[in-house]
Amino acid sequence: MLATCTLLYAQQEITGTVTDAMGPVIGATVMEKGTSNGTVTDFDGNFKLKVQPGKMLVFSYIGYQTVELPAQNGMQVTMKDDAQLLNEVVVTGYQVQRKADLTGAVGVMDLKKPKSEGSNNIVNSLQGRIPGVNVITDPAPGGGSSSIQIRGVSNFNGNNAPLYVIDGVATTENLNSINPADIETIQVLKDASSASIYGSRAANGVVIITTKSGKGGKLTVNVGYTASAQFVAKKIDMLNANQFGTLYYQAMANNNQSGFNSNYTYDSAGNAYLNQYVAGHEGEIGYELHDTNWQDKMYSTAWTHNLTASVSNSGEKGSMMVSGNYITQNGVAKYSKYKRYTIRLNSTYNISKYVTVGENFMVARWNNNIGGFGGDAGVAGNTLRQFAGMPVQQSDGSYSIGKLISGSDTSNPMEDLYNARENDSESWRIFGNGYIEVKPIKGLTLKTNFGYDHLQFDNDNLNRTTYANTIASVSRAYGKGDTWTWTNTANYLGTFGQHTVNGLMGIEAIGYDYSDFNALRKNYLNESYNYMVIGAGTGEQSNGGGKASWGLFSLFWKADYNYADRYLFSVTLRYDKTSRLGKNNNSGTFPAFSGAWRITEEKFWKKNAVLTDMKLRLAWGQNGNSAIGDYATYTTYSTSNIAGYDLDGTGTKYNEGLAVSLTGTEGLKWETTSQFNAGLDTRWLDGALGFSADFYIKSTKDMLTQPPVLSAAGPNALQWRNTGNMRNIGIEATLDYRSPSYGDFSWDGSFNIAHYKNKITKLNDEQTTIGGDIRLIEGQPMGVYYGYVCDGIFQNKEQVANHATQTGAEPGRLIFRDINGDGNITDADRCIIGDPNPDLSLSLNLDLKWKNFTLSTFFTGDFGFDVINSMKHLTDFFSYGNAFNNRGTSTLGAWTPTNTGASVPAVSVVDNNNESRFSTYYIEDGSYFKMKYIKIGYDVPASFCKKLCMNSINVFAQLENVFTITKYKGLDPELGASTYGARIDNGPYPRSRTFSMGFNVSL
Amino acid sequence: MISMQTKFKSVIRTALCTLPFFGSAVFMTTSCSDMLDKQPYGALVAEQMTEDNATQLMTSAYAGLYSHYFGNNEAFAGPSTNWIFDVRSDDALKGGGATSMEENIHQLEMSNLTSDNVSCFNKWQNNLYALACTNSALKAMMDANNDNFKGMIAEMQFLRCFYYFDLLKIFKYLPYLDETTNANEVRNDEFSQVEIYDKLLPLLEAAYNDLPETQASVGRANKYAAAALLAKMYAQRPGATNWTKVEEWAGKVVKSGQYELYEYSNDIAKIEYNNKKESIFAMQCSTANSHAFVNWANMLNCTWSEGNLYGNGDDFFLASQDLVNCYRTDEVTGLPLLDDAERYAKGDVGVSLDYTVDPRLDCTVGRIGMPWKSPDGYKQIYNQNWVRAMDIYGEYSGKKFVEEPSKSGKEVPWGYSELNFIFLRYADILLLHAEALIELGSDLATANAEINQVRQKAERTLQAEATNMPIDIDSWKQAYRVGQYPNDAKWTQDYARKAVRMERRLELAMEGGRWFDLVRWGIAEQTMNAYYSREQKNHSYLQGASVTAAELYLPVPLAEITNSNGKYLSKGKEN
Repeated sequence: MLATCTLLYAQQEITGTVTDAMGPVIGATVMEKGTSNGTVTDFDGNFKLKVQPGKMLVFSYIGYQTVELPAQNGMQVTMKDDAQLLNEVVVTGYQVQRKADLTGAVGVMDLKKPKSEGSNNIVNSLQGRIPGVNVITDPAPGGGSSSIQIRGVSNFNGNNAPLYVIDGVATTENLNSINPADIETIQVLKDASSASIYGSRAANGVVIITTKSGKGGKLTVNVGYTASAQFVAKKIDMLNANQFGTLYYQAMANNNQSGFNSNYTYDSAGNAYLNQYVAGHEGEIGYELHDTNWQDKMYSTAWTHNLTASVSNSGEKGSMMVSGNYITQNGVAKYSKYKRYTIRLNSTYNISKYVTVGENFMVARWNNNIGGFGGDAGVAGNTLRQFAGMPVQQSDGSYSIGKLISGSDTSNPMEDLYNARENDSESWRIFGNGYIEVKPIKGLTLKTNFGYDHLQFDNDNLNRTTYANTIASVSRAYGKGDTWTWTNTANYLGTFGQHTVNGLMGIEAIGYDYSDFNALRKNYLNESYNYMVIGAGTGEQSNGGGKASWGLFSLFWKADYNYADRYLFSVTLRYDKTSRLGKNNNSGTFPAFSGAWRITEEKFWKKNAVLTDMKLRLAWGQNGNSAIGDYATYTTYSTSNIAGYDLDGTGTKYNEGLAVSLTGTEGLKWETTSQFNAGLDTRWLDGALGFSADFYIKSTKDMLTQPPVLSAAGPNALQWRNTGNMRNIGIEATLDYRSPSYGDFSWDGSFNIAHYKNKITKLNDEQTTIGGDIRLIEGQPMGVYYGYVCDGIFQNKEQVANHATQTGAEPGRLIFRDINGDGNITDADRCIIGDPNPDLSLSLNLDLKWKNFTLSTFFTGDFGFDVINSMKHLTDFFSYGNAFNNRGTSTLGAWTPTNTGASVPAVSVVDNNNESRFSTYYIEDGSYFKMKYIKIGYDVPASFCKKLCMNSINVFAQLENVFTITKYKGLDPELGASTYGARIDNGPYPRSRTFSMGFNVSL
Repeated sequence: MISMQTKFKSVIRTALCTLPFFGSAVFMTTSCSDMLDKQPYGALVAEQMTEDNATQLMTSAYAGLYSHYFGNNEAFAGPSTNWIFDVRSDDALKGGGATSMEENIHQLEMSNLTSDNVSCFNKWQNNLYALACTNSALKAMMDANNDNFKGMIAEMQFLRCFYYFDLLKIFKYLPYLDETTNANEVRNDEFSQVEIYDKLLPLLEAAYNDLPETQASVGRANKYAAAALLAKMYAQRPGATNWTKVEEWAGKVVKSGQYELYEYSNDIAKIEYNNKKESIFAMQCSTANSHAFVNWANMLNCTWSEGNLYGNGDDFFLASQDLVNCYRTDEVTGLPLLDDAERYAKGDVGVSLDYTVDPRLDCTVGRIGMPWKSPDGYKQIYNQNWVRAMDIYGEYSGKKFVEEPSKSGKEVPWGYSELNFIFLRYADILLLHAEALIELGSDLATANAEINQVRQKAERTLQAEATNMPIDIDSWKQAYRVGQYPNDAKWTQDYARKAVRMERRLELAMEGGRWFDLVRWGIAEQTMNAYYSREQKNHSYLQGASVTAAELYLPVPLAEITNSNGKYLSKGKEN
């Protein structure tokens, strides 16, 4: 490379060594200042360069402060970490890059900022951290259903989760097995140009996670412990027993029925008073009654303990890090719990100057028992609707039975949870990779990496008998999925004067195999935990199980070119071949192009302290998606319950039948997402203030969906097909500031804002609308709500008479709008009544430092989206579900001829007006702004730590879910995405407020 | 200083470490195509299907009779037993805990029909799924071009007509599909109901010829199932009824000698009579495979049962007071009160020794104070604790489709057993034969005898009160009387018509047929509007209900229209 050097005047070859605190720096750039004369240090940190002695040499390396020194033979150069810069090294696809060199949209999670200390899932801590990365946290113990969505949804086949790449191994499995303390960095590749290196699996973005390794040249021991107490943040106000009795009487009277009930005594005004007992059936004793607040009984303060420890070391020969984590979390709902053990061993071995061998290895086991939440008959639903006059238990300790007391089949939720207390879902994950890295010549790195991911679940459910209406049974289910990933890459990094090129090529193969089996057996002589193993059952038994597998083969190339840190260009190409698509269309090529211009590096740009750095980025790229069934191209027939029939009339057996189990589509091809991204990164005030913004257009075409089919086509006729198109247009911005020190005080803050607009541009060739209450409509955002418009309550007969014909209309009942003006309220009067996609997401982080104290707060919010508050059916209507179900205190203010200003219609046990129909009555604005965390931390002074022979001690206290500002009337508008992204509040696991205290010690 | 040996070692190590790169190159080039060739597990791909698999395809065509596909609700909401159409009629009420439960059926009850009604969709879908399976079996058999399939082809033609007949009774505008059509391309406005009947009837007559008199597999259709279905289809076909054809085909069943009436009226709910006596064609229920093949269609309809006899129940499908009142009999003749005004004037029937009822009442519904399928003595007395929502729906839980508690499952699905549900019952065909004779006016005497045969069963039931187990009637609490129609001058065509229509109501109550009888007699509208105004004094929620001529058939499901890209219209070709 020195051949390019054509300087004529006297030069001499000087030699020197570049080191850092840990030893030689390999690959550092050495340039004669102002020229293109330069070289790179070798594996021992040595360099040789022909240069006039005394000329200034510039030493630079990613993550280090640039050093300028006069040339001198035998010079020893020591480079220092640049904390600021180091922070900005990012791991992108198969590579490490300086953030300054990025041309695509990459978000970096700052792991120094406060995390959700009470949670064991790192995803919960990602919420609001990176603009355009939307996280919905799962409040249940373990938080296993927390989800990430990057830049909105890209398709409506339900596959909107990003690809996770952990230490170079791609996975789509949940992150809840990873110990958050083991994570070194998290990067999010948001746009197609940065993610396209992952090709067919990266349409929803990529989250890159790197785990910690030993560093710092010495042995370090870290121990941390956190204890958290969770409290239910909010409850729904429900009627007490007397209020319920009185309103039930009124509701019955409103329908010309007698509301007298044997649980109550009534006064002349119809006020009900709960009796002490209700009579049993002939010859049986009665049952005790007393007022019960079921929510208070079901939910209580719960504790979480989280203990982590790690030992790490590093040196010339390599590095290692071993860590362990134990977390036990009780949920606020009785008997719900989660427990996890994780161990990790990461190590590297420097075999020779040319070869490094390393591995990352993790084993995690977790157990949980959460109980069935969601829906009317879920635990939360039953807690709300159980009769308030029924005690949890009778004084003899037996659980009260709704059927005997109130004639309702709503189960006793405390009994349900008690009976399920020993249910256990156990999972194991073994995840790791081993690699060999060879650097045969300067700048070239060859790497072979083998990753393995084993996941298994083993569920044990004991169903005990309750009130003679069930037969005890044990069901077990076991399944495992194994993924192997073999990746081989060659990476060349070379600097030729002002020109830096970085080339990558690789080849990758991924295979996946899954199998499961399950069994059920009934009738147990004894219902103790020890007795109830599946083999001890004596009754009916059944079993099942299946297998699946897929494979993916890929080739990829990437080339980056950097001219003088001023002009940056990047080209990526990925070629994927999958087993999931038909043999003829199973390959796809995903290109990306991007460029950036660092204006502040231009000669014409006068260096100044106001605007210190400005970079413009432009990128376009494509990604794919084939997250469809593994065998979508095959039509298959199978035996199943829908095909079997007892032709012989035996009454106890059946004949096997064959029916279509899958309808295949030949010629399926990839769903393709193209994304255009334009970005701006700036740093101001000597780098103290930063502002970045991105604009993107993300378009999905040939979307793989299963369009509805006609019943006439038969069962299982749904086919995967390339159909619709969708588009997201969005904008994201981040503002961050780090203050100078004002004496002992300093502060920093960051503010994120993101907005996107989703539009379905085409559904498929046959339909322009799909779905019922929640719909896909061409030209609309995904998952709009479709129903009637409710215009309040009829106040008098005249108003009813003047309104369009509405079956069941009368004063006190809800008014539905005659949208089409035909004088009749029919299903043609439905229209779009809500949109689940937020208009705006923002978050704010503020850290205040004073001496050794740090006070951190974090706020996050989503604005302009609608929630389906399905719980209103249960709280507002006596006609919904079982007659003797409790209702909300909202019904106390229900419409009566004298209370005409009410928002809740008159109490009624029948629903002739069909008020349970999907209407705006159930739609609420979900906009919220939350103080997610407030945390105070204290670093014990180093001098004191030293006395205790420790490096550092940090203690902290954190309050999570501090407050929520929202108009939403239900418990919490932060809800997981349902069908087509809809936000439905149907009684999920209640979100808690968590207080945590803990410490981290390093020695 | 590094010794030569150490250096050499380092070189060797380095070299060894590079081996995987060569290995990978070899692997990637040789194994790539293997890892991308994945075949499904646990299922046959289309190419693996052979001629012999046509038998299993046939089984899946029969499986449509369960109307139980993937969930459970489609079996409740679109049941093949058609109990939801008894709810549409004056015989039954939806039941359950509140009007809001299974609201779609409440809307049928109120005749508040919308095209997005779930029952409407499920009935459509269940039958079309069954038709698709039938056509797929038929195609496989025809493609095989093998004489061995001749009988099976006839069975499939029978099933096709069976499923179509169910659709034709309920919907007006249907696509016409056979084994050759591409189901995704057929329109629903090509043929009228009558035209579809006229396509099917000859096929079924041909099937009759190819079918055997008896089947070794008793669940499969035989000759007389085809004849019975022909009689019912000719009777139901809109327009002027071809009573000659009805008489001819019903007569073939009656004259076959292969069927007879049950000994007692409650034998219909006894497992030992599965595929015996009155059973011409039935849903073959089986407790195999975790009760996947039991009668899911009626599974909501188990009585609330105090939570211990059947484990539990949902208490849907209760008789109307109007139906109960029909069982009142003349205390002298034991005949039903055919004159409506006279019957209404007598007031509601309760448990009483003051007046007489037909014993079939207590074989059809549970009444507070009366025995419920008591295996010995009067151990099981139906009481208020068996009733779920007395205030709304009253007490009359249906008895015909559930075995006695000791023979029934005590968990979800409540009260399940291998008790068959009969689609084509001998008493139905016998009464249809009598009706044809009456309408033809040709042989009123035989009609009289046939109606009386059915009534004799009720008489036997009464006489055998002490010996017929389980016990459903109790003369200590309820006075009973049932008599026969004299074949005298009073037995005119008009009177006989009234008699046969009432007899169908009494004998076939709660079996899913009443609404379709009302429709074919052309009296659905008048009967129902009168019924709504009478019945609302017992069930106030019926206030506001009414039915119009346009509401006799269910609308084409909205979802199907939406998904059809214009191939399905809400209105098609009229008759």
